[in-house]
Amino acid sequence: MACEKNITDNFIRKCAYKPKSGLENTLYLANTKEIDKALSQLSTSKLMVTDFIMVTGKKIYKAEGAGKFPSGKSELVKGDNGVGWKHAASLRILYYGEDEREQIQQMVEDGRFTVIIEKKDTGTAGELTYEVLGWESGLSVTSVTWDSAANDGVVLLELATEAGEEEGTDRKIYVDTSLAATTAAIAAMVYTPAP
Amino acid sequence: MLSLIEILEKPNSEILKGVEENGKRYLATVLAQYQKDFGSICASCPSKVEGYINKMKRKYLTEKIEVMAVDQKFILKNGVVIPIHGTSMSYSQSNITDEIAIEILKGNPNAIGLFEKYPSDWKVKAISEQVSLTIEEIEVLSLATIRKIFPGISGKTKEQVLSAILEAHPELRKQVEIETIEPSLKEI
Repeated sequence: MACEKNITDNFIRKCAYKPKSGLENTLYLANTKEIDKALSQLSTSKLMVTDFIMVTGKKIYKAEGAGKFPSGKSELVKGDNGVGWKHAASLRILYYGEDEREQIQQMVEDGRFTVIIEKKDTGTAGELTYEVLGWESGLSVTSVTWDSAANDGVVLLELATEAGEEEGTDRKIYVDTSLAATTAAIAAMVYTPAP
Repeated sequence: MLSLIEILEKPNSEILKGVEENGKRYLATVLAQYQKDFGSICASCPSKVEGYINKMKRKYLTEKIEVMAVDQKFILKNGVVIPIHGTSMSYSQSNITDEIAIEILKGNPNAIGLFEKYPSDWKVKAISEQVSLTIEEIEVLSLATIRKIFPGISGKTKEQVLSAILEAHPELRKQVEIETIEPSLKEI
């Protein structure tokens, strides 16, 4: 089937809607290989995840930040073999104890991570609240930096799409049947450590 | 020659590529009826074709789904399609049965999120085989395997996981208590 290359609809400004920058302070990380892509559901356009299903027994992990972090980015990349999208996310590790260092050490070993972000811009009725970065290839850790004289001494972690592994679409909207259902689905997937 | 309903009951991938014995494409039959029912279609918008098929499925298969749904305990969410790996088969609300739903859930209990309605004891049905294991049989398994069998159980170490399993499945605890009592009986 030929790909659509023409514009076929309008961009309409929504009444009483003001776009907003920024993310809520928690994002969620999934090991990309642990997402059950056969069961997870995408819309026909592949721009929306309607059911985010993890493989049996696998969980997603939350990363809490503060202030302007975490943050997310997406940009178009034009290559010789077609256009793609580079997704990126940054987070600050506020407490960097032994467990946190161990996790970072594991993550930098060529792991790929799919990220769920919660935006401050929720759309007109919550439909844009959650978005997914790195659904196809996953993001890898591109830098871990610490400077004792900057950023209150916290560790800054950067994740991004690897060159050549660009995503086929911009970041995907994640909405289950409703905002409440999406929030509940995320809560059910989040790893809870044993007390 | 297949009827429109028979064509619409096929998975979308088959409707897009399938051809009848007389050489007529399934898609042509579906789109011709679509045009009659909903007016003109966008011929230069291939990305919308699957949307047209889904709309026709909603219109023509709804009645059948409603009849099936009366007796069905597992109802998939609207629009959910579960492909079967390595085949052209897929399940949607139009062809899924309770037995198939349970098989899918045995494969991955997280798939419960795809169902709009399901019985409250779905987990027992889906993982009953695993729960019938004894605690001795579970203890010798690797931590990774135990996590697969009991996906909802958390814990960092094997001990923590086993303790969480016993808390979630008290019927296994009974067996442990019996085992711990027995040696003392032998001593007597």
